[in-house]
Amino acid sequence: MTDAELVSLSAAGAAAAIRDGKTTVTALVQALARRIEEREPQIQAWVTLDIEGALEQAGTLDAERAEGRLRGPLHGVPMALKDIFFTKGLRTTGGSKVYEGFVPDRDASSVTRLREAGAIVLGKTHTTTFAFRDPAPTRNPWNPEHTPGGSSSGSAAAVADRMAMAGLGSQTVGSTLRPAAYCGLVGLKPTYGRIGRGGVFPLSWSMDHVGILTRDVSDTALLLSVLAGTDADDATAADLGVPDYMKSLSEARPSRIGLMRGLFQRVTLLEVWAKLEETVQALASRGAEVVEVEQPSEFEAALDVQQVILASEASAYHWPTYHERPQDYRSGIRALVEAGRVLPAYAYLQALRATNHIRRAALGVFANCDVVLTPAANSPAPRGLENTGNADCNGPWSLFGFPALALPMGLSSDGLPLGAQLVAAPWREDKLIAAAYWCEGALGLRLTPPSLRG
Amino acid sequence: MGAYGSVKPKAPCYHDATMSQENTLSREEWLQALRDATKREFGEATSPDLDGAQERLATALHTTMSYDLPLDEEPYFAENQRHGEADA
Repeated sequence: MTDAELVSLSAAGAAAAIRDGKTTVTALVQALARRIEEREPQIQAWVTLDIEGALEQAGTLDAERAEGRLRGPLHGVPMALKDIFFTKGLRTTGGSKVYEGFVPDRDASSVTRLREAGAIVLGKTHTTTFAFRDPAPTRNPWNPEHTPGGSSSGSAAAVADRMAMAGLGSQTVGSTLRPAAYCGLVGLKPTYGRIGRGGVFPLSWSMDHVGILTRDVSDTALLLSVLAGTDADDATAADLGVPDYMKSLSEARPSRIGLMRGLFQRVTLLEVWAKLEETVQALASRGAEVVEVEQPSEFEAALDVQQVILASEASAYHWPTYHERPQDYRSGIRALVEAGRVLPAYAYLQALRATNHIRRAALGVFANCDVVLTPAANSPAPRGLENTGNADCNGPWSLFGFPALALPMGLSSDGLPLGAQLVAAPWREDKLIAAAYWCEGALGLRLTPPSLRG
Repeated sequence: MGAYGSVKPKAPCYHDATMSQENTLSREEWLQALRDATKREFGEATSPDLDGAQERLATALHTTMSYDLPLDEEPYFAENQRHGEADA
């Protein structure tokens, strides 16, 4: 296989090619290393690369394959990890000066699951500092003058630019789905508690989720199958049965899709909303039942309530290190810690009470539809790297802990990707993936960044 | 030190099973309370982005504290929520 063919393989495609002897893990890692060498000076997706370690691991996995042993469904699949996931022996900075020399002595629970399934860690990708708002240096592969979004900036750019097969991100407000939308990827934030967060730098415990960044919905299902489940290092990880998400793909069929306007339409640029309406028409013409679902009035408070929780929890977490080294905190996260430090407990608890109330209203929406549809981001990727864009379309679902998925829906007038957001009821990732897979097929889009077009 | 600052918030008052909206601070009062409290806590050595963060939080606090809630509404603790829903 050529380098272009190898780097463009999906995660499932790479695993199959290795399993079937069409390529080796070593050849795949070498092709990706050449791609990274070519593209990284411009894109700046990576904080720490471990090509040497990846090649060593590739040799081991090739030897196992030659003996007829496969570790799991990701045998030999190279991945990009946001630099807030602990990696044993590989530094984990959190995008900060505070932890610039931190080398964990253990893997994050999700990283352990990936390795046990046979995945290879190519390296650690840039994040906004501590997954908040101070931007990473990463550029958007679709246009380097634009942000790739954040906070999972590097993972999104690396996967979109074919420097890795798939990536891990995280989402507290919109940090997986927004960069997915900006970079033309599929991004999944599962139900709160579906994937354990042991060994991940927190931002706000009540809303932090592990996120998955892939180039198609099949890979999302594959990664979720590997990552979902209990976690001894995260009490919030649910001890529940994990459905067979790969089976969800074969059960994909036209869904009852609930278009939600309200605040989502209000915050969204006309061009993006027009593309969403066009997408609705396309899905309906191929058999989906699209209904309008009313946005519960309680939603109007969601983004504000979320800010109170975020500031309270982030400040509590960072206070000990901030107190010792305030000069090492960048201005955005520093302001959050300082402002959150003086919030009263009753405001935090009121925010948690309001969350309960709003969330209950949100649950009612799914009586009328299988999945809710909104934009995944309110605009294409903004020009410049100073900020990573607006997360208003994602914030409510992160607050509620509902599973949400970004799906490419086309390009803007200036050639940047646009994403739709599908949301399901809690624990119904099976339904979400089935709906997304059907929509992906119905829309028939395969977005390829300019650098990969022949 | 809390965000009370120099402004003393009025006590919550319940009637008709909801929290009374008029018994909370205005957005401007919240902003002043935040500014006073952070100044006492940190002095002048603060982030250049603090003003913006306080502006956002003042709005957020005003919305949150004036949100009408049933008397029996409990806080959302995510880890307690999951089992019932997943079993349903």
